[in-house]
Amino acid sequence: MQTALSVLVDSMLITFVFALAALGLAIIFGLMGVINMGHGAMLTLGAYFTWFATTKGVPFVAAVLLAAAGVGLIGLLLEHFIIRHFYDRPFETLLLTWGFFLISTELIKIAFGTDLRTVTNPLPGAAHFGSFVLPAYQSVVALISLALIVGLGVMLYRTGLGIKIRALVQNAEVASLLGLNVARAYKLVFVAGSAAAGLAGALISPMLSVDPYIGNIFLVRSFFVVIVGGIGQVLGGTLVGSFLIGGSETFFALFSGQVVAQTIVFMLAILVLRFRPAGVLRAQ
Amino acid sequence: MMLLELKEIHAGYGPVPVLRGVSLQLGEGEILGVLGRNGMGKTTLIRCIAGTLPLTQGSIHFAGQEITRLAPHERAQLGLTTVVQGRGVFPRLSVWENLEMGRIAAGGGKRSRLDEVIGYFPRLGERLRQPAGTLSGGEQQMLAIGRALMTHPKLILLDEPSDGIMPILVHQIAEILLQINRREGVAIVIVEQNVPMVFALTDRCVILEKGRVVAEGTREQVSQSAVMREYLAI
Repeated sequence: MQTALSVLVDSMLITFVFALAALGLAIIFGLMGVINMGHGAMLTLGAYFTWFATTKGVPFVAAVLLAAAGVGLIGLLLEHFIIRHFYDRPFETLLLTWGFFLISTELIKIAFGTDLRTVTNPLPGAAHFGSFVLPAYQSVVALISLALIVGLGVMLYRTGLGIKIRALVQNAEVASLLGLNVARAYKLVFVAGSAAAGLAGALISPMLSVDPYIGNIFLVRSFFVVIVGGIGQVLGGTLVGSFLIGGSETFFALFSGQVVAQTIVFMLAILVLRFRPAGVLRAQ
Repeated sequence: MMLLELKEIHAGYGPVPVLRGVSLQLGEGEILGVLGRNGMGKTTLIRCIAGTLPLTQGSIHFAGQEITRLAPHERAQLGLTTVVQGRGVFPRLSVWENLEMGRIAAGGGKRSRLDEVIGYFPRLGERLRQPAGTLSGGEQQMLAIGRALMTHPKLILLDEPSDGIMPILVHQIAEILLQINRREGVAIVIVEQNVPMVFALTDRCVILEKGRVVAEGTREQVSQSAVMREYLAI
């Protein structure tokens, strides 16, 4: 019983970490249709911002906020100078964002080398319930992840800005004919997605060693989360996709090695897409 | 002062010219019908005025201001709104959200005209929570016109509003457009192949043929023109 509960809680914590990591992609790819291969690099940049700021004495919370703002600014520059010229050309945006990943990874290597860096866990404690352990920091990150997803859902479905964004996604030309500055709205969404990725990288950094490829761990998984959950289903799709990818990986890892568990999960994801190609939650 | 003035406009798609020197004028509160067969440049004319297709020559003035180089959203903010062919409702937004989008798209500082819109189209009031994509074609057209009205327009451009709609609803929509024009003073440019609908709405029409205005005048003048008899078989 204790083990089952422990696995369930571990699965939930991993689910929320995956959801956090995938949120930026759910915005940029799920809402805007930009296949952002630079998502992993944005997570990595968020982690490096946090590592660098904390080594200079900046408190962890401020470092996380700086990381989100910094990656948001990088997203703004990327969108303004490159991506906005290619919104209706998905293959080109895929290549360009892949180029962004390569360039930013090499720049990180030049600036900081390839050594593993460590961000000190700001909440190292844990709550113990018999043999069952609830790590404090992972629990807080899970709550932040849930709050961000709920907040994004409220913004999208309960505010005027949300109506504008959903209208833009459905028919940009008509939105502009009604008076919406489409270029500005796309920019806002792209920056928000970039900042979310930076925030995720920052919050994940104390859980893993920071290296130039930390974001890659989550890149493929994030795509699976968004696609399996349902493209455009930012709220429920991200949570369901994260649970199916992250939570089930934790479950299968109980009975096999991590690599076998990942393989099973990706095979199951492919199977899900075979029968529900638009994702679990996407209306057919 | 004219509300809308097109001076010798030319436009096309790539190397293919579609409009070849169209000049038109529209006064405040006036309704202009643009008739013509398929492929003669009617939708292209609407796209040029709305700003989704750039001109290759000529100029467009709206409400005393040159708008030739303005983006579509800037033209909409001046009071020039468009109901596109096929309605262009946002299918996964509710009827209310579609209407609200009309009010807030340009900034949201405008007074809501929801009650007036529902007054013109009571069916929309019964379906406010319904996704717009589940409405019938006629209801979607009502929604598209209602949403245009929510933007507080000076001019509404209508591209084939009768397309795919039951004849009884076409007549009803034409009557409501006339009411909107008379009560609100909103000018209308209506591009149509449905001649009876245009004649029910407007006194002044033009006929487009191969990207040029080949006939212009009152309903009677246009209906008796050789071009009208030849091409529209009246």
